[in-house]
Amino acid sequence: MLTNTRWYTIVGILGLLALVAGCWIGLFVAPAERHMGEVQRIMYVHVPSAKNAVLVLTVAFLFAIGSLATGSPKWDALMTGATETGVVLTGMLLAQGMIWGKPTWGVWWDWDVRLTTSLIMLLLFAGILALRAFIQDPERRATWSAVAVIVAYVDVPLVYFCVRWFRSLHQIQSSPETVSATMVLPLRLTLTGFLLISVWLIVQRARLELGRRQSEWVEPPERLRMRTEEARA
Amino acid sequence: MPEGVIAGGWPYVVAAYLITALVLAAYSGLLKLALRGVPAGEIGALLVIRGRLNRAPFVSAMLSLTVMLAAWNALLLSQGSGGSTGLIFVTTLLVGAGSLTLLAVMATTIVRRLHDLDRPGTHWWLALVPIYNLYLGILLTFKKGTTGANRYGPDPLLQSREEPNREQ
Repeated sequence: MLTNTRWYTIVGILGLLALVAGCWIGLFVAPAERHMGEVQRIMYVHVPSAKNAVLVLTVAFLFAIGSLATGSPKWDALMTGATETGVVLTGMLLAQGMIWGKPTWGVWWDWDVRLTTSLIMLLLFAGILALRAFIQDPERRATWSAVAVIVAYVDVPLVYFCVRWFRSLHQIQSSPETVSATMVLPLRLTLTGFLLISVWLIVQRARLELGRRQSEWVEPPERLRMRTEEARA
Repeated sequence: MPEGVIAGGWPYVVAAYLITALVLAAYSGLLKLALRGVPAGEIGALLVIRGRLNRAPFVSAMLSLTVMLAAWNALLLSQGSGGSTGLIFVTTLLVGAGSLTLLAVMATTIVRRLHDLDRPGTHWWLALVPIYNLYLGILLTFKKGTTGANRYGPDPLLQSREEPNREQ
């Protein structure tokens, strides 16, 4: 899957086309929202970033389980790709949210439960990427980071459901029933675009991780000899 | 505008969209560079003015930098319509520093592309001369670099062809 470059190039191009089309309709065709005015157009990139961040980090969680279960470098590479893509999406959604917050809430940042749990999500998964840089043994690095991803994932459902569970300044999730039909199309297009681009980014990062892993570590002869003797014993 | 509607929203919208485009372009660009075998230290050291840069990375770098510059300045516009004087002052300082940094990176990108055409990097200032800079822009974007090594370093195209395994 990771060596066939054609399919994910097509996925990336389709994602880019969907994203550009969605942004175009969102910016120039869809009407301005009744109360928020033009600022609401930020939702066409903010909502897809948020939904895909949660989805991609869920995928990272599944890859982490796969990595622990199989010990395969491919699962570890895919987990790294999903984690890093999730961090990029989370950073982006926080930046977009802050830009939206200033004209609507009057502040760039508020320690609201949704914003705080999202920031924690960013710091947790960015921390896992930093942790990987400190562990030289690839097998230990894969195990430790997979465990860390599983532990950090506890925050992800909290980010999604906290607006329903707690009193929050942030509004709850919209659905096609609660949004005007003219706003649903650009939202669906940008959601698809972000999803396909995320897949492309995960695969690219996983390829890079696999390449690095192949080139970085050769078992020292002394350790190899000891392991062989242990196996014989 | 009807009463109760938030006014002056477009600068915020532009800033949000530009930041989105910038982050996606920068991250995918970094991944591409890393997959081509460019070491992480070298990716970080964008201000390096040694060596040569062929057309494709030059165009993608200039496009990314232009988007970054526009996003940075859109943030300044979004601050112009409201906020305290102190906030506007701090933002203006940040935007000024960010813009100067981006322009410096742009200049070094032009220097490395000039090297690829076997021209001295000191010619970067020609990009500031009206009319001539249009010609220079076309030259930098479309003219193929000198084949083989020149006085500024090895041919970047030959280098990438000699290391096909790094793409795997």
